[in-house]
Amino acid sequence: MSGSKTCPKCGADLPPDAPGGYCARCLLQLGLGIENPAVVPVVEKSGDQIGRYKLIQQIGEGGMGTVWMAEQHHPYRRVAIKLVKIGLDTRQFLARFQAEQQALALMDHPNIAKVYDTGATDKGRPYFFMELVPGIPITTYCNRENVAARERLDLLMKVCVGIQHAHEKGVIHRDIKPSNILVTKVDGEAVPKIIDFGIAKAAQGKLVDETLFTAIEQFLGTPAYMSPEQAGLTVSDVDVRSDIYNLGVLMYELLTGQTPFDSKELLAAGIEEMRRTIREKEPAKPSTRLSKLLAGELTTTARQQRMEAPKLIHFLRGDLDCIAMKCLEKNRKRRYETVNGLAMDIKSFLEYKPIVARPPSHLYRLQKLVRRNRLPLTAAILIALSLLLGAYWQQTRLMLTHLYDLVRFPEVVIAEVNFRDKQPLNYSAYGYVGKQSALIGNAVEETGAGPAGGNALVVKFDTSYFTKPEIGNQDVGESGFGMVVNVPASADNWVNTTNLGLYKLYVTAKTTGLAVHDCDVEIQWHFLTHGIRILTMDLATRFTTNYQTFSYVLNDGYLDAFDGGNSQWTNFISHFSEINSVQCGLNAGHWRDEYRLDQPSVLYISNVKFVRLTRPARVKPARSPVPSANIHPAGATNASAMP
Amino acid sequence: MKDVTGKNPDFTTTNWSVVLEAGKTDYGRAARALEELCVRYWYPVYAFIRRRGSDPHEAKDLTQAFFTHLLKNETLKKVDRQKGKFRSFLLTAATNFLTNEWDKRQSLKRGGQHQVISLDDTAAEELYRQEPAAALTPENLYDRRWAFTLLNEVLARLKEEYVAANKEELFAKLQPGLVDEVSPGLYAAWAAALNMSEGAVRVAVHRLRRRFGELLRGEIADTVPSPAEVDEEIRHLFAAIAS
Repeated sequence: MSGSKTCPKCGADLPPDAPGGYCARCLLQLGLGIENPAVVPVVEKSGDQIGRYKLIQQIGEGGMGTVWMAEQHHPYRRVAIKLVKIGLDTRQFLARFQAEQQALALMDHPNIAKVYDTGATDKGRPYFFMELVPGIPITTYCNRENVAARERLDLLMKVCVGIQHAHEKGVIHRDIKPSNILVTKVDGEAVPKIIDFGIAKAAQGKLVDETLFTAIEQFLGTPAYMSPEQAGLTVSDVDVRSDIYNLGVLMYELLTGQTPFDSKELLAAGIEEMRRTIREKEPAKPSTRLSKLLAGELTTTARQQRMEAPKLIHFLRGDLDCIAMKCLEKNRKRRYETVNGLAMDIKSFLEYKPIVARPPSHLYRLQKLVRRNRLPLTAAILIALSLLLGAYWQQTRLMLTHLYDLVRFPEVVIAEVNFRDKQPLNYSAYGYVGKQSALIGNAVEETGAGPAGGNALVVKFDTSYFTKPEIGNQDVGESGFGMVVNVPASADNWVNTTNLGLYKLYVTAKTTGLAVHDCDVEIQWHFLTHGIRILTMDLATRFTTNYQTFSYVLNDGYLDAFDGGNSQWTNFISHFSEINSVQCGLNAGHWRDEYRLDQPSVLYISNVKFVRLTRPARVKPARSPVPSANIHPAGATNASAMP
Repeated sequence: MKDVTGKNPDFTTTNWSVVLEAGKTDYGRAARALEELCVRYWYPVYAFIRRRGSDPHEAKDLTQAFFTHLLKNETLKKVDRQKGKFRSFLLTAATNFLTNEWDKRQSLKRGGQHQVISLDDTAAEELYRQEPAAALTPENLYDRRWAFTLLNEVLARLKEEYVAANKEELFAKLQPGLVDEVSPGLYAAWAAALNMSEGAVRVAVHRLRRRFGELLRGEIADTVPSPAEVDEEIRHLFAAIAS
């Protein structure tokens, strides 16, 4: 071609019919986004008007676009606007955008941020309006407000409900992480809201395109939260179980303050190594991870959950470990199938029911049954006996740890005791304090099958001996089995001039407490066995006193204080996980404000060690008299009952 | 909430993907989409047919007939089996058409096929004369023309946008910056002429380029089955122009 020029920029021919007189190649280059990066303007700025809304402030930036806070004046309303990033191919990301819009339009749920409307700026830049969520990421919220562990699990369950809703509509979030779950307070209650279904993929329904992931975009997600299948080379078959994995990571982080794999380490290792770690390396269990933290970090984490460090580790160990690890299984077939399954297991855990994630053993089930049941019992002392396997002494001791819970006055306690010779009526219950013991009562009656049904026997103990002022030096040999209860030495607690009849004896399952209650006297014993927890019951009257430092309780939120000096109990209402000790000076009111409880409860702690049930020694030629003969409302002697 | 299937034209699926879906959606919509595409890209077909050896008059007739034939429903029914790009599809279809319909040329001249697309045949021939000499095969010429047609279309759109936004003067001034390197002196000159700060001018030039790039990609996306193929198409056209 004669007279053709060349492009000064790229040197190509510049024919006379070149489009617009420009070099066609250079024009095409523009389509490939080869640009001088030096001048990259911020396209939207505060004060810009989009539709009826005015941009106020940028509040976020994602892989796809920026999020602004915007307001309109008539009527006054504040929303969040998400705008597709300028400079990205509008058409290419249009598909993704449209998918998000389509997906969100299907959902209407209190835990999912609402999408109000969509539109395009006059430049053709798509946007949509969504509910402005004035919240902070869930992990930040929990740590800042020192949310207790059980309440974190409650919050997590709410998140699960939202995600489940989305799954039912065929939408997978694919990017669940703390920054996408914002917690706000609605009427004083913490409500998590899930935002940014940005790379959501509809499991059904027509979408414009599926193949939108490049290698780089894959890693727009937080690597610590990425599921093994997301970290794989083919992204297309991510399903609801990927979201479950993410929820597992969230649970892990909420309970330990750490993610299963550290983000920084993942990124530093490079993409290939990151992939391999996520897909192949087994993370530590939450309780294990906690125990390996440095002391300072561990204390902080525990404090943020209102627990002492060892208690927190204990809290996580077992069921919660299993639940979290089931979510984090590399093989997604082994995870929960639905988010609902996960939520149900968390709920089961919180209600002391067996969880699916844990292989059920007889002992485990029994423990749960025991802890959970709140049996409306008669005003009698029942001890359920479990005629389990023929037990040796040690094993039988363990059996006694399977104690039923007692919740409300005037309910009583149930203890499982295995009487080797299957003659429960030969047994007596003793209280022990220090080296001193006192007879609590004799077994008086078998009253039938216990609440566990089948193998349990219920035995009533007569505790009229309780009224004895002198504790005496009853030397109770450890001939039988059972547990020994220490009772406070102070005689005041024992004196009771009224005819009390049968005491109510309370023992709790997995408890450190065994209490006897009547109108005037409260005495508490507790069991010294592992993981035993204190019992609660209602108390009609309350004591207030200056109490001294006292020791504590358990696993689930009941607390009381015993003022050794005044032999008085102070009633607390509290609900939190374990505490080791409480400073004196705090009054009940303080506690009541700080900790919420579902129902009024009173909690006893004590320094009582254990209770023992013994039977008369075989050496005595004469067997103990028939227990019923010991029942005299007034002045029964205890001599005959002595082993 | 707007209809998520896309009432807003910015959100519609691309024309070519609509055509590809012709088997599943109503043919009316697909036909309209195809027509729209044909209206834009008829010239490369003309150039192709012309280069194949027809004289101007014949080429015009053939082109006309081709598009008439194309926009019949039967063609649409066959379309969705191919998942290729519109450009290739059109070329293949035109090639096939010429092969099959060659002997029907005469009857077309005689008969009165009603015009579905009005082609500006004078302009077409004018354009054609400017094409490079016979060095290019018809197919290459077709691709080259396709690229130019595309770019012209995008340029026109870009200008339209600026005019609509009352920025015609800005566009006129800055358009050399679309492809050329802009020296600092030039920025300064433009700034003075437009009564803007130099920084604002830089931003404006950047936006111009960006917007062209976006529109270009959008235009190409309209003719490929999926947005993922836009880059590939650009590269193909790039190679087609290198002559």
